[in-house]
Amino acid sequence: MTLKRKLVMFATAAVIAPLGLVVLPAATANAHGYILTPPSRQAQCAQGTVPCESIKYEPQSVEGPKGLRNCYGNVERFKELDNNSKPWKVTSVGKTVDFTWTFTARHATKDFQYFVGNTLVATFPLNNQQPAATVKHTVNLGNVSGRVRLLAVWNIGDTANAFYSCVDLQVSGSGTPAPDPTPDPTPTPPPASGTWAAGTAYTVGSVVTYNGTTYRALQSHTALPGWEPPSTPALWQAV
Amino acid sequence: MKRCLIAILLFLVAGCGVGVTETTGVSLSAPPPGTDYNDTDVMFLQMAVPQHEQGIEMAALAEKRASRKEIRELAAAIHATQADELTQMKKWLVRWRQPVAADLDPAAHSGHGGMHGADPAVLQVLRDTPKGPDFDSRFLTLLTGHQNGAVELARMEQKDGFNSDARALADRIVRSRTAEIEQMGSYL
Repeated sequence: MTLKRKLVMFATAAVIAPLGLVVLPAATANAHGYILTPPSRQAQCAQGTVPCESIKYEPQSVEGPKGLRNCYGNVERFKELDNNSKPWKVTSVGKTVDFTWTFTARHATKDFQYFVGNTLVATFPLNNQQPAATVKHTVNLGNVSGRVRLLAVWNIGDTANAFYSCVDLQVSGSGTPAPDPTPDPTPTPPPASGTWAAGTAYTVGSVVTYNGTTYRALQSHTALPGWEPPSTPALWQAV
Repeated sequence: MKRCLIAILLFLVAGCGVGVTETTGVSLSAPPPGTDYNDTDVMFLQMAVPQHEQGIEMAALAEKRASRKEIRELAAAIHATQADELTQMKKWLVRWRQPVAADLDPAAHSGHGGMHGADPAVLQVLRDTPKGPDFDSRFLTLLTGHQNGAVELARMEQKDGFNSDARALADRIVRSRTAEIEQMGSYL
């Protein structure tokens, strides 16, 4: 069901429900989410760490029937999430790992499960409660060591579905995580003048040209795609 | 009494602008005669208004409380750009004589985790988190999910919307939020 369809059903039900004519069906519920840290495969797609297809724009939507043990929830357009040969970033961790979820919609939850292979390593039951806005699970990986593909499953309470997130980990023997061998280099910002370019750090007063017009920066920011000067009067003033 | 109920129902449905087509079966994508927008445009804007308002509040908190300068600066730019977009969207809804808020009863959404618009619990978590490393990571986590929701709404508009201004806005939202998510990911 598309978002729009769900919204129409929801809005219609929400309008009629106060009159007692319709009971809001649970099937219109719209839970979505994924593991953000350590970066799951879909988080890496969303963050541009790894080039991906449509999953980049909907990392929260890896939804499939409960009981699956793959990374893509049997959603064909997300199949690349199951591809172990893509250059997924592997996070070095110790035996104990904190997993943080992010949600676009939080819905009644049966539990969260963590698997390595077919082995269940942790369960966090929620008894059909709505998860908190921020969810962090501390998981003890026990005997697991070396490079693993961990599968986290968010089992929804009142539908047959679950959400799936795979996280690539390098588990060290000790209790503390190994230091990240490749710290991100600090990018050197190019000179803040000339033609407007996404990724450039501009300071107040920076002057750029865009499509033949000259603009002056009104506040310091790093330019992003979608923030072109003509459509962001709060950031850029034509001079 | 029955007439009264029907009147209330008509009022509620008219106030929503979304249920109308669902109950009358009119095509969802065809603009009404004499207009240049369809009900996807209206729904997109009505959902995006509270979505933007919440994003602005989250960003405003981060401008004050984030420890890292680059996060404060990103938050300030998000605040500024979304405020511009919000002004535009409200102007279009008013011009189209559509209610700015689709949500007649804010509590109606609570069971749905705030749908894809606003989620008051998210804002409350940030309000309750003092300045410190926890604030930075919570802000980045919560705003990432929030902007994932914005992209989802905007992609609905890209697919089914009609109005050229609203569609251009949806394009910018998809591109800017996607870039924001990338940038926030680099700070996590």
